[in-house]
Amino acid sequence: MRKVVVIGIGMHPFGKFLDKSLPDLARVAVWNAIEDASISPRDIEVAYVGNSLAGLVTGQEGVRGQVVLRDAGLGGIPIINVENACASGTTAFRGAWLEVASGAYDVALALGVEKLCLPRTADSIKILAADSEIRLRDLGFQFTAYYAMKLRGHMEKYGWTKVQFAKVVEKNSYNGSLNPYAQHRTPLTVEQVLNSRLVAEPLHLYMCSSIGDGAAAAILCTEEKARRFASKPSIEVAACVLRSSMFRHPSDTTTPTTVTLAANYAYEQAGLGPQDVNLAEVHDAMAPAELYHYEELGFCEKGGGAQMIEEGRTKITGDIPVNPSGGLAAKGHPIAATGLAQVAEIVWQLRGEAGKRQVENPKVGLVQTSGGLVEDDTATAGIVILKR
Amino acid sequence: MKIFPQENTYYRLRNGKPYLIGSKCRYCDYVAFPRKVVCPACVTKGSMEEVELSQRGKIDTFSVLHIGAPGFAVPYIVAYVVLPEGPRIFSMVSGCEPSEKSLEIGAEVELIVDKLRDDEQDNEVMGYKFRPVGAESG
Ligand SMILES: [Zn+2]
Repeated sequence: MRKVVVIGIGMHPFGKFLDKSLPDLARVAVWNAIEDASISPRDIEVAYVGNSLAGLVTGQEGVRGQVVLRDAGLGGIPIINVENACASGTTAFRGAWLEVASGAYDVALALGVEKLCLPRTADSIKILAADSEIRLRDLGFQFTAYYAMKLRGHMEKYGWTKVQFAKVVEKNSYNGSLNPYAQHRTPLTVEQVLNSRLVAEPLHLYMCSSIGDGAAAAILCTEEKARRFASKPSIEVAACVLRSSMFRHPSDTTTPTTVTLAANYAYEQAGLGPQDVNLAEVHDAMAPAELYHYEELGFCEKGGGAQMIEEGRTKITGDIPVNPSGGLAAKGHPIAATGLAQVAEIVWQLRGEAGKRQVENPKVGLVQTSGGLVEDDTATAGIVILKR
Repeated sequence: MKIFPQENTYYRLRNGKPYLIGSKCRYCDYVAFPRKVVCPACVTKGSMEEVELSQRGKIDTFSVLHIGAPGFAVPYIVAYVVLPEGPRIFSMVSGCEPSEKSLEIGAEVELIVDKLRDDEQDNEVMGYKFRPVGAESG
């Protein structure tokens, strides 16, 4: 495998944009990435496009990537459409990485784009349910219910509290208030979070990511090509891993979670360990989920997540900042755009371009994305480790 | 009109009482719900035989939903229920107030068939649910 670097990233802000189409969102992210990389769009040799729900939202079920990229001025290259629910963007990133790493192409684009906002919010909520097993939706399943029930288990087992959950939101909403691309830019207090309406016990509204539109893109290439184009320091892809969940016997209490298995493989690929990670963007579709991701990624012992938030270790100024972008709950969660927005944040941070959110001198950053749900586990887990 | 789309797929009735239809592996004794052809535990094809599952189980975890799935009237309780044979089953819980105080982890529940939701043609979609043991209605 060849060494692969990220030379350009771009985003369309996350939020509610009823007047913008899927191609509108994609065009902005793609061109921001092209300009960031200082390349010509004609240098792009292959593209992966992640989108989860456009088939239901707009009716554009097939050839979504070809439609949105033609509008951005790209064509004549292989365009591969990928779908992996919330991990669609991370899956697109992996496809682009693999094209370059394998030697098939030298310059690849990864795009994640999602349009979810509809004039009637109820229509959007109904569509979102399609990213879990439909069998479960028909039994009353909602994503919030899954997170709520999992978190209740942790409350029971480790004594975690709702106040600690609200502290995650306090941290991430503050981070989001510093991010010009974030959907929600108002810092929230613990009290405001606990006073927001209940969505699914123990989750309150402000703990949950909201429905939004957005896009994010990355341009990957070989080290050698990067020297030819890029004016900015290139960021190395040290690991790129995708995994699906598997059957787990009820009596099995020792096999690590799907996220941990993916992370362990990524650490092995990168030749690094959790102690080498300087910052992380994790999949907090519901903010308190961040707490068990800390342990799944090896940042703390089992059940130690709540203590990490109490001690402020994951703040921008802490020893292992998590979700400096604001995370999914503050930044917004346009499904397929999320993974690439996480990559964008890590690249900005590693380049020292994160402005007021800048973490002090990071060298290694990690992205963790979970996608969808099968039976009672995440359907897909993606991990990307980037380093400068 | 009441419709029963899950009958004979997820549950059957015997003497008017529902039971869930599982499958048990001839080789490794693993019990699955819903029914499977390939045993997920030992990954053998064709080793699964239909079995009738216990009508009672215990709450493993639960939540009261205030924003629900399409067509479901809120608030309602959802839970993972563990049956003695092993399966951990996602289900609604009714027969009690949809409140935090109505349930606890470990509480015993029993299987019923009750209304799940209204569909787009205004049918009442019926299906399996659990209720606390001793509750009077669904
Ligand atoms: Zn078996």
